Amino acid sequence: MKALRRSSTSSSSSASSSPRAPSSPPPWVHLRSLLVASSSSSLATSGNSAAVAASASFSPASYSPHSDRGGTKSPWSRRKRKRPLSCRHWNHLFSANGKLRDGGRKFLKKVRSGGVEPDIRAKVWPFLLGVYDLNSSEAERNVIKTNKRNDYEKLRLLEAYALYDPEIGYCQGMSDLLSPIIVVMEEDHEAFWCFVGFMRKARHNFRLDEVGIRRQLKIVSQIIKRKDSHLYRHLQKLQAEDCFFVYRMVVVLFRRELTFEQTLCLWEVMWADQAAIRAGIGRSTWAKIRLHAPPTDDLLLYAIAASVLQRRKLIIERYSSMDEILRECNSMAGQLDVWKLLDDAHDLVVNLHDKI
Amino acid sequence: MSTSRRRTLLKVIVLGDSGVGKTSLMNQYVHKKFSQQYKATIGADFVTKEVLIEDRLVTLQIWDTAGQERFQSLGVAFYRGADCCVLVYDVNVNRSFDTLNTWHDEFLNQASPSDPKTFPFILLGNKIDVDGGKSRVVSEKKAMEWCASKGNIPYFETSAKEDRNVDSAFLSVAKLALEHERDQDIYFQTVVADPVPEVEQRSGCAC
Repeated sequence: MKALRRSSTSSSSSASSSPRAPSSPPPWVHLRSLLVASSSSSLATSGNSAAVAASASFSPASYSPHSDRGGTKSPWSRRKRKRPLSCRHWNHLFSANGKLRDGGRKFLKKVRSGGVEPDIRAKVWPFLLGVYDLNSSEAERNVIKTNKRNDYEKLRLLEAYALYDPEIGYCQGMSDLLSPIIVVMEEDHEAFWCFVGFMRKARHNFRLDEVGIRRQLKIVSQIIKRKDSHLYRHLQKLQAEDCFFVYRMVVVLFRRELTFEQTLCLWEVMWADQAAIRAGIGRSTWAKIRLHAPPTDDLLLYAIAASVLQRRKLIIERYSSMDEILRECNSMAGQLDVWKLLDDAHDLVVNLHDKI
Repeated sequence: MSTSRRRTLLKVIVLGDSGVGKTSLMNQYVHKKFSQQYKATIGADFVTKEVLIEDRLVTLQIWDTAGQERFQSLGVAFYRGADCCVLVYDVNVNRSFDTLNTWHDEFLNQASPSDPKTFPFILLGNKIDVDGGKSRVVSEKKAMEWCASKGNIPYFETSAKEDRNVDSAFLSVAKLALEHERDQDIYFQTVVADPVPEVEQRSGCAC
């Protein structure tokens, strides 16, 4: 469990080591075996007995830096072996902007002849293994480090989700839904359970039989039909009334069309609707409030329909094929005002929620 | 001089496993750009590019599709009226080569062109730049054999990253698509002899 945490540095894991009883054991069991395979180095420091058994030979505790190196002189070579790369030497290899001098030639020469001293291995290995380019500056490496950390977190959580929900597994598009959650939720385990909560409904977008998508496209189509028969007839004429052109908006819930901040706004409002329904805070409460729109499980679909309706004039007057409408929808990025979108969506809910 | 005043729109569908580089190939061809960062295509999208072939200006409409099987059945809507299908695999990934048969057959199945036997396909083996070619697992010979077995499909080895062979591959795509479109035109002219002056109307026949 500890290995699942956001940061795998020893300082942060010891700071928050209060044990948490897992509420649903089966997925965690799978997870642990997964992590033994994927990140034995972080497990080795976690004190997890299974992990220690699996990677005893790598455990820093049992490792003595100078015991196994043997003498500096190899028994097979007449040449005298050079000493390993030391911390002091390593620091000297870098120029002011944190770039290895002479493209790393001296560095590699040194390591090729004598290896690396144990205490700086963690710093040196990423260069040897191509994580960092030999010509990279410190600033460049920091960017790479951040990106790689984010990528890794995403992978880890998506893998965890695939084990948690094997029926859905992993599917393209899921990382679009996960990435905002990772940014907001600091702790990995909290991010994971928030994602699980999000996916309770969104998982239907990723079903193999695509019924979840079809149902939603149908609702968008119905909303447009009810609201704007003129536009709907135009869509019919273009054989586009099935609303395939909003496919991407449905699958990743506007993530590709809205900015990061806008996406969070839309999702929060949408989640609040769903939470109200779960809590049984129904219509009567909302009827008295200014909004009048009762909470709905399908607020997203009303918002999608609203984004299309906002372009009705353009679509009717200028577009004569489904391709053009798809193009319009796929290039909405940066064109949308999320609060206007939500206002329009709420208006649609007020008018249509009992007819759809 | 163009033989026809009418602008021709050629519809091309790009298919293949996820991650083989479909979007990257298109971006390189149309925008001359390559991004290291991977962003999965959701659903479908297209780009257009004007190409001059035999003194004729044609518009290539190249459709990019999601490579994961879960987004397949909805792809049908986008396959309609295609003039050429571009299959892409990654020369470093066996699986992406093995699934070519499925993509090929699924396309014919779902697009149901009027001429499945002669419908133009083209195969691109992408990512030849990776590791200087050392990590390659599908040989050119193997790919050519597959192409031969499918009725001599043209084959190109490409690198979207290093812009190798991308232009020539798509030029070949455009030629094939244009040929196909002409054949179709002849076919349809005998059915509906109606020279429509409007530009986009050509695609009106969505049968």
